[in-house]
This record gives sequence, structure tokens and C-alpha cells, in this order.
Amino acid sequence: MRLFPVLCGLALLAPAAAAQGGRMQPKVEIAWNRYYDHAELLAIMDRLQAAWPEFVRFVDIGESYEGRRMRVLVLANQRTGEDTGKPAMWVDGNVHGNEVQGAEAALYLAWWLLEHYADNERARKLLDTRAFYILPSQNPDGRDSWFHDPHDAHSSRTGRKPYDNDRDGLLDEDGPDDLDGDGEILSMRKKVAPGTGDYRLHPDDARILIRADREHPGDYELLGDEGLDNDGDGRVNEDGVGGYDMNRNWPSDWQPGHIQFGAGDYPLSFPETRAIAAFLLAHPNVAAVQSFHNSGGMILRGPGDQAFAYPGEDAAVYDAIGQEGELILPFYRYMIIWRDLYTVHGGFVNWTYEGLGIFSFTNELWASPQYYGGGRERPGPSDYSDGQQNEFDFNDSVLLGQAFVDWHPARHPLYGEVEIGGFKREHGRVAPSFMIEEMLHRNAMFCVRHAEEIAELEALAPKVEPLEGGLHRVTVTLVNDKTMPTRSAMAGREHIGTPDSVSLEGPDLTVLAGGVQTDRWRPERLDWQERDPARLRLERGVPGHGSATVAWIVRGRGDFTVQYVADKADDVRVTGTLPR
Amino acid sequence: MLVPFRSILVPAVLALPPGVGQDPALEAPVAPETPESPAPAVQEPAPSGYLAPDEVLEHLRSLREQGRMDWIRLAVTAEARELGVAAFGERALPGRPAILVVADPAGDRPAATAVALALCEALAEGGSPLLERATVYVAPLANPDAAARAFAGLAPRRGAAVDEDRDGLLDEDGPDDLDGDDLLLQMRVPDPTGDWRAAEADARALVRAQRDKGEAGAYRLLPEGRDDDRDRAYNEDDLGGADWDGNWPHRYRAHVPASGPYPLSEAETRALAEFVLGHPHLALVIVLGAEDNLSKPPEAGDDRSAKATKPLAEDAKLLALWSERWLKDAKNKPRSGERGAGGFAEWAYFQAGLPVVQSAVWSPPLDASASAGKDGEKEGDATEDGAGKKNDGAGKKDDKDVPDEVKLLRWNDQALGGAGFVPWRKFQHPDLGEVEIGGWKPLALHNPPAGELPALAEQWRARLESLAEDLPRLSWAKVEVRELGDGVLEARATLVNSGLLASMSEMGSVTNRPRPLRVLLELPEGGALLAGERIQSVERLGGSGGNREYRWLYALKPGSAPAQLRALSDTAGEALVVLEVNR
Repeated sequence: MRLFPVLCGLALLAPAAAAQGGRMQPKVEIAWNRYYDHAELLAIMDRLQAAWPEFVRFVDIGESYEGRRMRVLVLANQRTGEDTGKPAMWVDGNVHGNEVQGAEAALYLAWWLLEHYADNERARKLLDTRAFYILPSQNPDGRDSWFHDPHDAHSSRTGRKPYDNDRDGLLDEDGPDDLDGDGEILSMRKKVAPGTGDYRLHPDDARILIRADREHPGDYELLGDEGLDNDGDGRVNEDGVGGYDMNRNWPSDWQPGHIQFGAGDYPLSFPETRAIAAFLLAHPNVAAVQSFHNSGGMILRGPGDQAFAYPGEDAAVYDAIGQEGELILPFYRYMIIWRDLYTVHGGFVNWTYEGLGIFSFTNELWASPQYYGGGRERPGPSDYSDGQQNEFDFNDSVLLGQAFVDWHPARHPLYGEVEIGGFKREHGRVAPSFMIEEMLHRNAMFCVRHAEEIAELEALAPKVEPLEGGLHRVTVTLVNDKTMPTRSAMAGREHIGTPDSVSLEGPDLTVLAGGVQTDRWRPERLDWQERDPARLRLERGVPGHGSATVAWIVRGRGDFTVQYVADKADDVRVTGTLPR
Repeated sequence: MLVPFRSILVPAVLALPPGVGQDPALEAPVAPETPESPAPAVQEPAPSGYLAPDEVLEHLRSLREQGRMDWIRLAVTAEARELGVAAFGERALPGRPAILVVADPAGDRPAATAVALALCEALAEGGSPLLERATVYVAPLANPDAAARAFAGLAPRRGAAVDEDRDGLLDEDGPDDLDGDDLLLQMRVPDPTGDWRAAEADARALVRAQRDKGEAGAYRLLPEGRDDDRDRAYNEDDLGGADWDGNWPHRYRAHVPASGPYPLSEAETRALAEFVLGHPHLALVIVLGAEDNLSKPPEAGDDRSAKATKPLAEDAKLLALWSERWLKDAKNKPRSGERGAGGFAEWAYFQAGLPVVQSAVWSPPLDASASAGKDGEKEGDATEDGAGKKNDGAGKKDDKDVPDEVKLLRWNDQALGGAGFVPWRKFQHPDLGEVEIGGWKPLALHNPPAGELPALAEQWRARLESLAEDLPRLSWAKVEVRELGDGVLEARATLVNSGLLASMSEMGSVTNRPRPLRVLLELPEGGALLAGERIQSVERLGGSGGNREYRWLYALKPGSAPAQLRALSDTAGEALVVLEVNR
């Protein structure tokens, strides 16, 4: 990291504008009550760049399988230094093509900080001293397909690289079909002779099927997603476009497709994942990662597998930020992936933490209890899928029926007369239009809090003590009052990246020995370094809300400078003088 | 083509970060004169008579320029060498099963490359019955840069520099040729805390001191070199980074510098992975390298997880069978090197799901008291290379307590005339004081005298040719078609695999990577299926007569052509039968 001049605080502040709440006059007006396809996202990025050219630049990191540009928005005040010299946060969304709202959340973060640089001291500090790398969509192909092709809320999770899911030598030849031509992939159901079906109509609401039982014989069958047996192999919809999961393609604990669906041929086998990995490997200044998904209202962190254990110091950092997140994000819970959700091998935030040593969260945006009053009294994840009646009430009372396509007759070549109906794709996993902005803002502010807790060092004034034989001991303490350490314990344990270093230099002195002081009362307890004592390497860095003390034994006199250099924190420098 | 390694080292030195040269502690040491020992002669690290890797590439180039083989270029290495696969029969036989031979993954087995090159030449001659059944792919030099480094006497590593000792300097403390003989050997350092002692039978041989049996150590054993960066560790930050054979996704070891930054991070490994995954007709992979699963076929296991190391039962049986057939008359039974994690062979088996044969090609005989002409038929079971390992007792009675290292030295003396081992010589080490430099030449223990190569190559040619019989082969048997009246027919038929190999490995049926074979009932225009499945897939059809029976009921229009039955497989070809009514 480069060394930062101390900012001169309030003097830089523009006159306070009437720029918050309902009186805000944005420089760039963006409708935050809707979702945007890939081209529209790029256009928003262009508008931000045009309005704040000194804060926004772009890095094109590659192309998706179908050739869409993968553009990272680099957000940093270039007048206070290059982004690569600042501790940074990576924010992305939408690795699953249908989980669209993460892209808007990522761009909202950039937009809000830019709009408030002038009137908000904390926004200003972040843009001056930190960098943000924002990739709205990890999966622009899946995104665009979700917007423009027939889909439901759950389809288009994959990328668009052809994959032979049914192993018949044909690629993507049997996906769902929009039989009624309404642009939606809905469900198919069929009325059958009483007593021959597994389902019956809900007595109060014929839109809902419920399980038949002994007293209530079934007269309906559910026939899955709208679709045909396109390849005539006796199965319906078994080999659609793509058919994999790019959030299982990362190098940490990656396991092949027969162990975990959708993993891809090998880690980073997709152009999208590979481009992102190359960018992150080339940016050791990234100290925080947020990856936006949907849904369920979760603030997730690893491990993805029970076999992994995170060092206690790092778990405490996660807990502090995650628990604050639960307050910022009502309806969201802070969870551990394997323990509270399911096992994931080769997940993105697993790799960024376990592989790169970066504190990383995945937020699952939108929680169904937000739909309708009754939902909030039902705790626990299993209830989220049990709120069917709730969602119909919401559809009827709050959206006046807009979200649901009523069952209507259609003809199917195999099943004969069927009914097609169900919720449209905008219902279930993404927030409805009128609730989008709140979702974006709260999640963006969770990122802000994460970024604000990136390590920040202060070097206390050096202590100089005379020793026998004309030698001196120089002791320097580095204090970090943020939650995150300069190097995660994972990075220290696994030797990830470059260790921090602290050096002592002076024109008229020689460093004889140096190391980390392990006992503040007994200075001779020094873990001294074998070679190059003037430049100490600290594999563990400086802990969060803590300090590290180093000491040198030196011969000589005059002025000296101590400088601390870290990948993931601003450098600090302090000077002192040895007596003549 | 021997490249003096000093010249190879130059770029690495230039790659050091700025400021390194200013550290007085890092300036190159000047080896002092050693009165005890005369200056050694400059020697070649490889056994003589081998082609250097660049000569191998040149040879391959001329073969393809003569139009005698196809060449699929997979990647260009960091040192601008071509990684490629020679292809035989591919254009003539699209859709037929294929065999892939991969030689010398680690770069230290020029013998493997020599065998593979000889296979290329034999196949290029034409007339091979194998090529009437299969496509053969050969990658004779799987890791060209590492092979070139090893051939020049350096550690066979490749890839970008890694700061193994995390001191901010790259590749600053590798081995050094202290005594100027152009070889990187070993140093034995007199040290009462060392783990090694000289064997009684041969003072040149170092064996591990067994402290629990009252033996004290006398030596520390280090690679020849200085503590270039003055951190009290010797040769701990060597040239290069990832090991080719540790860079694969199965049992990949994260955060180990030699594994590379992530699985398949290297151009060579990723390109070969894409090649394997992009060739669904591969029925078998043969790896000629350090590891061996033929001399001592592995026992079967049942672990199908990401940590599995043992083949599944059906696949283990196949290895045992080939071991029996192929090694029955073999003079040399190679010993397997230690099985490493993250290797190509395990990936090809446990993830790509392909049958994988591994051979170490050759090992120096341990038949210690025999003459050089009699190869090691009586040697013990396969053990790892490595000094000091006790023979496991299967050898001659007198030799029971003779350490392998001593037997290897006898072989060196008798068969090589001493050329494989450089006797220990005293040397005044600038950091360590008096040491001795000597030991095995880098490639001597894994590669036979060049004179033995033609016989090894012929052996492998014969094994490869014998695979023509072993590859899976489909046919229809017991085809019965009966008329039931009114144009309704009942057909029964049995699909048989008469090859030794199943249509895919047992592991393949776990990984879902190889495609199942498909059985199609093809009805003529107007025909109607009354009962049965029009398309069926068979995950795996066993070998040696493995079979499955099918039946259908269908109706044909009067006068129409008969129905057909087709079986299609990536690895076993195609079988077609016309369903004529049995009279």
C-alpha cells in the first residue's frame, strides 16, 4: 500500500447541500425501483463515469462465454492516489443469472458514495482512502437470458456454455418450452380421474394444489415446468441451456461434478470465473469481498464444508461484522454456509477467504417474510418455503394479482389437455419493484460498514532506550483500531500473499537485530529474525482492535524512519532520533 | 544440446526484485581452493546416449514434416517449447476408441520420453494392427521445460518463480554447483545431530540412523549449495514454481508452492486437461513416469470421495490382469516412486473416469550380488526409491540386511562402471566448513544406460499392440424376431462386449464423465413402438462378454423395411443389426 498524507478533514467539504432523504437532488438520476439488463448496467456505469470521471474508471477483465463485456467499475478518488495503492473492497453480484438484484445493489453502492462524497464525511473518507472494485454481474449471459428469454424465478442460474447434462452427446437440446407463448416458464398441472392423482385443489383457493390424503382423494397431477421431450428420450426438460453452477467452480475445496452438481470441468474452467480470479490474484490490495445473491435473507460466510475450520481470530471478525449486518438488514440472519444452509465446495467467497485470505460475505438478498404481515412471525428457514398462502395474499392485496398467471388450459403432445399457470419470475426471489431501493440501500450500507472496518494503522512514537556498549533499543508499537487485522489469520497460517513488513532506516545507524517483542514487560523476549533485521516480516500482521510491537537493537546515532508496509492496509511511517 | 546450467540461471537472477544485488550478504561466494581434493572434471548429468528434450522435439518435428504423423499442438511453454500430442490414425478412424500415452510428467524420466518417441516411430512406420481399431495419441514430452532443466542438471521444476521462503526475494537460494563439476549433487555435512550415517557395507552409502536401535547419526544431508540468502536454510528457494504433477485437481494440495496457485494454473497442465476432456473416445491412458501401478498392482478400494486413492474393484482387477500379462517375462520390474497428491494420473482416473496404467518404465536392479548382466528378477517388492531403505527380505538371504542404497551402489559399480555415482570428495564449504560433495547424478537412478532403451521400447510397442484385442468391442447376439400377427413383431437381442475392457471404467460410471452407450431402435417410416423404449442408455457394459438383453414390441406397415437395432459407444464403436424375422 502506498503511504497516505493525512487528510485535512472538513476543509475539503463542499457546502452542505440539501442532499438527503426526500430533498436529495442527485447528480445522476437512476430509477432504483427496477432491474436492468446487461447493456443497461453498462449504460449506468457510463453515466457514473461521465459524472465523476476522477472517481470512476473501468477495467475490462474479459468476456463472458457469449461475448458480453465483463467490466469492473473501479471506484476511488484518483487524486488521492492509484486504486492499487489503497486497501480495497470487491463487490459483485449475480453469479447465478437469475439472482439479478445483486447487480443493482453493487451499482447502488457506487452511486450513493459518489452522490454523497461532498456532504458525507464517511463517504468521502472511503472514496479518498479506499478503492472499490465493482463487477455488477459475474454472469451477464445468464442475466440477459433471464430478462429476455422465457424463464421462471429459478431458471437461468447457469451460464450459457453448452453442457451435456443428460450425457447423450447432444448439447442443451431439451430445455423448458414456453408452450403458451406468454414469455414465462410456468408450471403444468392436469386434472385426472378422482383417486388417481397425488394432489387436489385447495378448498379455499383453486390456484393452490395440496397433497391428497386418505380422506381426500387426489384428482390432480403436477407435471413440472412447461416443456416438451424435445429429444424424444423419454424425459422432459432434462438438458437445457448450460446446466452448471459457476459458484461451485472456484479453487477452494473444489470437487468434481459427480460429487457436487455443476462444478464445471475443473476449477476456473469458465471464462467468467477465470477472468475474475485473474483480477483478484493481481490485486492483493483487496481486503474485503461481498458477493450478492438471492434469496432468503442471509449474511453468509464460510466454511462451506464441515471439515474446514476457520481460525478463531478470523471468526471473531466475521461475527462482529455479520452481527452488525443483522441489524442493518432486518429479516436477514448471519449464517455459516455449511452449518446453516448447505455444504458448498468451490464457492466464490470460500475461495476469496480460504484461498486469498480476504474477509468475504455472501448476502442472499430478499427474504419472503418481507412479503406480507404474517410472515414475520414465522422464524426459521424451512418456513420460508411454506408461506404459499402468504404469497397469494400478497399477490392479491399488495400487487392486485400482478405476480401470478392464472391457470389456463393448454394442449401438450404427451400429456394431452393440461393447465398452465404459476408465479412469474419477478416473484419469489427478487424484491417487488416498490421495495427494491430499500433492499439495495441496506445491502450497500452493509458493504460500507465492512469496508470501514478494513485495518487502519497508527504508529506510536518510537521508544529509544540506551543499552550497554553504546547500543540502543528502538521499540515501535503499531495500533489498529479497526475490526479487521492487516492480515487474516488464514493468510498468516497458510502463507498467503506477501507478509507485512516493518523497516527501520537511518543514515548513521546499523541494525544489529530486530524482531517482534513477545512480552511488553520483558524487552529481551524478542523473536528476532534470522536475516535482514532492518526489514522485519510479519506473517501475522497487526491484529484487529489490537497492536503489535517490534524492537530493534541498533548501533549509531541520528534520525531514523520506521515504515510499516502492508498489502491490505495503508502504509504508516514514524520517525525518531537516536542521541548523539 | 547440453545447456550449461549457469546460463539457465541467469534469467532467474535478473528476475530478482530491485535491491537484492545491493545486499552484501547475497553476493556470489567464491569457492575456496580445496587442498584435500583435486578439482573435479566437468560431467554430464544425464546418462550418455539420450536425446536432449530439444532434440526430441526436433525429431518429432521431422516426423510430422515427413507427413508420417499428425501433431496436435496443445500449448507453448514459458520457455517457448511446444507441448504437443502426436496423433496416429485419428483422421482415418474418427469415432473409434483412442489410447493416450503421456510420457515424463515430472521431467526427470528421459527414458520414458525415449520409449514414447520410439512408439511414435513404430506407429509412424504404418501397418500396425492397433491402428485398425484405435486412434493412438502420444505426448512424448509432457513437461518440456522441466525436462530441459533436468537434462541440464537442474531441479526439474517449471513455472513462474515462487517465494518459497517468504522473504520477499524470488528464487534466490537454489542449489549451487560449488565444486565446478557442472553437477548439482549432495553435500554430506559431519554433524552429530544429523539423521544419516554411513552404511557398514559401503561407506559411500548413507542410511538413516535408527536412534531407537542405538544408532547415532553422523551426517546431515543437503543438496549441494550455499545459504545464498543467509537465512540459515539451504537451497530452500529454488528456481521455478509449480510441479507439473502436483497441479491437478484431484487431491490438490492448496497453499503448497509446488502445487501452483490453483489447480491447472499452468499452461501445460490445463492444455492437457482440455485435450483429455475434449476427447470422449479415450478408452485408456498410459502414463510413463515416476509412479507405477503395474509391477505391484494396487489393492482395490471403495472410496469414491475427493480423497480417494485406490482404484475401484473392477478397475483394480484390470490392472492386476495386465500386470500378470505384461510383466510375466519382463526382466525389469520398475519400482514406483512415492504417489504424490495432485497428479495427472489420479485426475485422469478419479475425475475424468478413464482407466489409467502407470509405469515407471525402468528401475535399477537391486539384485546386489548378481553380475551386471542379470537383471533384478529376484528383487523384492516394489519399494520407493531413496537411500537407505531396507530390502524387505525377498532378495537373497545374504542380502537381507544389505540396504538398498548399498545394492544400488553395487549396480552402479558393476553395470555402469561407477558412472552414476560421484564419490564423496572433501570440500571446504564457505558457510559450513569441511563437507563432502558427491552422490547420485541427478538422472542416474531413474533412467537406464541408453543401451537398454531399445528393448524397453520394443516391450512397450508389443504391449500397446496387444491392446487391439483388449479394447471394448460391441456386437449383437441372440437376435430373435418373431411375428405375432397383424404386423406386430417382437424383437429380442443381446448386446455383447467381447473386449477385455468394459465400455468405461468402474470409476467412469461414478464420475459421470464418460458417456453411456446408447441403444436405439430405429423403426422405418410408419412403424410404431408398442412396448419398450426407443432410446436406452447403458452406463457401463462389462468386458470379456459382458452383455445385456433387450426386447421390444412394434408394428410395421405391410411391405415396409425391417427395423434396425443400433448400439453406439464412444469407446466401443458401433454395432448395427437389421431385425429380420427369424424363419
